[in-house]
Amino acid sequence: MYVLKTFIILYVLSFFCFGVFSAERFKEESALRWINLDGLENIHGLSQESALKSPKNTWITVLEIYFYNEKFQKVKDCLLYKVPESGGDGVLKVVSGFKGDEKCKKVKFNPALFTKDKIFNFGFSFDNEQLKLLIDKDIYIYPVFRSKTLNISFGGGEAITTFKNGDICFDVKEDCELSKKNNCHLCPSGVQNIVTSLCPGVYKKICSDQNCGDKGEFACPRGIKSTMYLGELCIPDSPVAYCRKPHRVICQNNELICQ
Amino acid sequence: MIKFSKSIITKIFILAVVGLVFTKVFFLTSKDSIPGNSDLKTSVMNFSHGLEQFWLNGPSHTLLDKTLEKCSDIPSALVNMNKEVFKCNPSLLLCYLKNKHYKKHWLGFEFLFDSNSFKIMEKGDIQVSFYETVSKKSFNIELKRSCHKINLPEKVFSAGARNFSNELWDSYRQNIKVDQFYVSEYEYNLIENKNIKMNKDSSLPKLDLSLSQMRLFCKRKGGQLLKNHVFEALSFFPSKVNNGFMFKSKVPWAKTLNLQEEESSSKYCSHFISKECDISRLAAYTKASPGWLPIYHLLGSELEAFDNTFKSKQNLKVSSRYFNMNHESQKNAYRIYWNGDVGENFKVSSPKLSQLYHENIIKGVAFRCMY
Repeated sequence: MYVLKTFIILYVLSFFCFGVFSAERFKEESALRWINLDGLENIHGLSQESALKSPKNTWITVLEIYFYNEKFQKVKDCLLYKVPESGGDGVLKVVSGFKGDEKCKKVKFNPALFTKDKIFNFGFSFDNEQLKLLIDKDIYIYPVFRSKTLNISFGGGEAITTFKNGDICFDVKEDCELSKKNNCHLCPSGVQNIVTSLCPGVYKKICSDQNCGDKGEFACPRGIKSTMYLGELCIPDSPVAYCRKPHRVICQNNELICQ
Repeated sequence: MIKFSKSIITKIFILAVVGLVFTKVFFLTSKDSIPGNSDLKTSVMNFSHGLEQFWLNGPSHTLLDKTLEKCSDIPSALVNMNKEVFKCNPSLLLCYLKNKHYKKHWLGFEFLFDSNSFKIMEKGDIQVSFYETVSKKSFNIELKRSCHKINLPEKVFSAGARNFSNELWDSYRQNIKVDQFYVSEYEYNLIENKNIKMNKDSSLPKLDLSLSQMRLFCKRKGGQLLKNHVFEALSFFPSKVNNGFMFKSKVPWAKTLNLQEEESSSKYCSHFISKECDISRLAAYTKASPGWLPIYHLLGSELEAFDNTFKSKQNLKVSSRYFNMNHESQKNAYRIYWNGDVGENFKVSSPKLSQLYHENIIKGVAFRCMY
């Protein structure tokens, strides 16, 4: 009886300890892994500082988290959250992402690096200074080390993505959903804003050393705010762009060019 | 015997459970104590960040003197000038690093720099390599020349000199950046020839390029020649655009002021450079004629060339140090046509200005880039 009692007490104590450590594990693992955050991407534009409530019982990608790994390569993690169906069964998991997978779609069901379960409420917020994960009553804070000036590589680190002229470095779809995130700072020369009819007021951006406004070139953007034009954009002489006289604005393949 | 067994079993249980707990604790915390990796990472990040600050902001006064002691190739004439020339400056950075050892005392790392382990990259960026003596690892830091650029805020603007204009445009979502200063001799040599040597003329504006050479240089710098309507947007003191009407100020730094109304011209020389100021060498980085944003030489100083997408025949700012402050050209948006050539073929639509150029009084045309 004495043995059994001791066993039960210690077993319960052990589980209590494991529980505390499990709860701490996410915090510790993530703090160590993301010690040098370089950037964050709220890929679905989820609202910040409010608890995620839907879709229930489904994995959603919350953030792409860019950071320097031990070899000083810039890599990314995908932070996923399963919204609880009923209170307290929400799960947060971190999966290692890869470059080609822009919205962490392909890694959703990959094994997690570390997880945190039994979550009632989860939210997040970030700015240029820090990332905050709001997990029930806890707030986990990770400082962001972000610099567009600095690039560090450790002995032949990962090659930085580069573009050549003509490559699209930022684009959106018809419903204004982001289809290519802005990496235009990697263009070899300049960047050109192209007026398209897909998402009014948002420019497709291509790496380019060309000017705008002359025959055969893209039309120069004039803007939606300045013209207050709300009509169809893909029309001849579209007011939201201009060409040098005597050339005229025409629309080809949803893009405004000069003819 | 039974008593003995009970005691043994209890002890085994206790040991097993305690062992299990400690094992768990060890596994959970062991990654923190891996010697080297994460500490090195933090140390390198901190070190790089410090270097980045030096690169972006230039050295402090004390540090500048110390740094320059090692830099025989930086002319002393430059030291007393505006410190802007030392921002994002590879020559100064290399002098700073020359034979220098860095130690992160709290983590005990030591970074070594060999004076030959650097590379001037495209657009004048620099890559410097370091060796860390404890981990015996090398790493590269690439620093981009991001200094002296300002963002044009998102607003509606009106192109041209007249208050009423049909040429409205806006900068929303265009992410336009503009050089704060003229392109300097140093910058040109750095990007065009990868030449990092400084001389007494390094801080002067590059004045001898043709229009097509200016365009080409701006492409190499990752942008394009500044467009006239963007320059105007920075020159006119901000005012609301209402039904095509926008009040356009004559000078960049005030709403109503006319230069001609001022009695003392010398008062202006501190920030507006006209003929009266009698300046023979004007540094590109002089903080003259600021606008509502920290961008300089908006009026006076040198002739400046643009690409004008609205009116291509108005591509040269005449307002400069070659004319008196009461000259008609000394106001915002006064433009004439330049054929883009230099030397014998230089031609502008103002005979007076053409004459001054061919008499070698005007040294050339300055320019800057936008991104």
